[in-house]
Amino acid sequence: MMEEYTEPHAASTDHAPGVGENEPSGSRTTYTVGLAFALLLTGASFIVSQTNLLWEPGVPAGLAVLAIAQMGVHLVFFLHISTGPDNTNNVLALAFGVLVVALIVSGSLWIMAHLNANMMPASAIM
Amino acid sequence: MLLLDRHVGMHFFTNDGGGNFMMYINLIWIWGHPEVYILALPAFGIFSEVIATFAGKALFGYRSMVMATLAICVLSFMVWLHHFFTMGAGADVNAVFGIMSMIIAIPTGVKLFNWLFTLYRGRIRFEVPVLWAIGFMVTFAIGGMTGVLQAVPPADFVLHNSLFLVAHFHNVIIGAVLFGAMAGYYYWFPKAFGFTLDRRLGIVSFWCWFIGFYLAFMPLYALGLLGMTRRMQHYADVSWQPYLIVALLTLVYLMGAR
Repeated sequence: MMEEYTEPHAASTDHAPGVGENEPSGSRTTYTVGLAFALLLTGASFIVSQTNLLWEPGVPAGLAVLAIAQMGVHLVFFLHISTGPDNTNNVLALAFGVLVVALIVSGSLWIMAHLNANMMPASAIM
Repeated sequence: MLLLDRHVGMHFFTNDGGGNFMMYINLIWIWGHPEVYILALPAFGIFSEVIATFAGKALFGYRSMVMATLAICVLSFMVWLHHFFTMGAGADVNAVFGIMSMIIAIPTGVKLFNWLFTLYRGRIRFEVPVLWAIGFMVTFAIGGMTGVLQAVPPADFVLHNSLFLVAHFHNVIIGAVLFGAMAGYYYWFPKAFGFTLDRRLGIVSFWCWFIGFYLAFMPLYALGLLGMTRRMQHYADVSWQPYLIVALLTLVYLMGAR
């Protein structure tokens, strides 16, 4: 009943996520550059929020821009997301994560807005 | 978020400051629905292995099987509101989530037909794992159909929190996950431990679970339609009694027959 195990796709170049990706992909320089960028962006967001450098109503937008840039720095320098062909799995996983977060946030906002519009105010139930 | 509510004075789940306790139910099911697919998908993988092996054929439609798995992965994140249609969201919210819940039955149906076509004209050896797999296909098809029925929001308003729902949930989880675990257990046991489990006892155990499942949960479907809700510690309607006695006797049957 049990046959000897043979590798089903031995000839194919296809491989599972994480297989053969164990060589260290970052160097001391990239990590240092990444850290410098991250500190720069963190410092910038403190400056933006504490001083009048930005037009005051624009501060939240400015902080959002800096936060997104921070995410980009982390992804590129620390999590080694690149556009290389060996990185498709990571990029797809990231895209799926972004999709799920977008679904959760937008779906929750939509549902809760409906509940607020349709239901008795919660204070009246109590 | 609960921790922040309790200790830092935030209002995610309390009514002050724009919070809403229904948010908790919302978030629980955003997690909870993909969770049931995380339970079911590995079981589906086991059935694909078992059925292809014991039908003596390659799995029918491998590509469509993979595509169906991926489709289920994505869709499972888009259906969570079907756990609380009755909470008071409007018609368009309920319609969207109802339709998404029906759509997720399509890739699942694709899988079922792939398994059927794998069996078709195969040289099927009725070993224990394949019994569990075929038992799963029958049981899961019934569970899937009652699921699609409840994905229709007006039907769900009738069936919400009834024993019909309880029967549906156990129908799919026992049918898929438990049967899948048992199929995989009998299938890979020789590989892991070097000897095969007793075939006769395996067959007895399968038929006890297969018949026992129907004895236990078909009465609950009927009770749900008769209007019995879940988690009751007392019921006043004596016409419910026979169904519950049958379901109870099944427990005795399942334990005695083991």
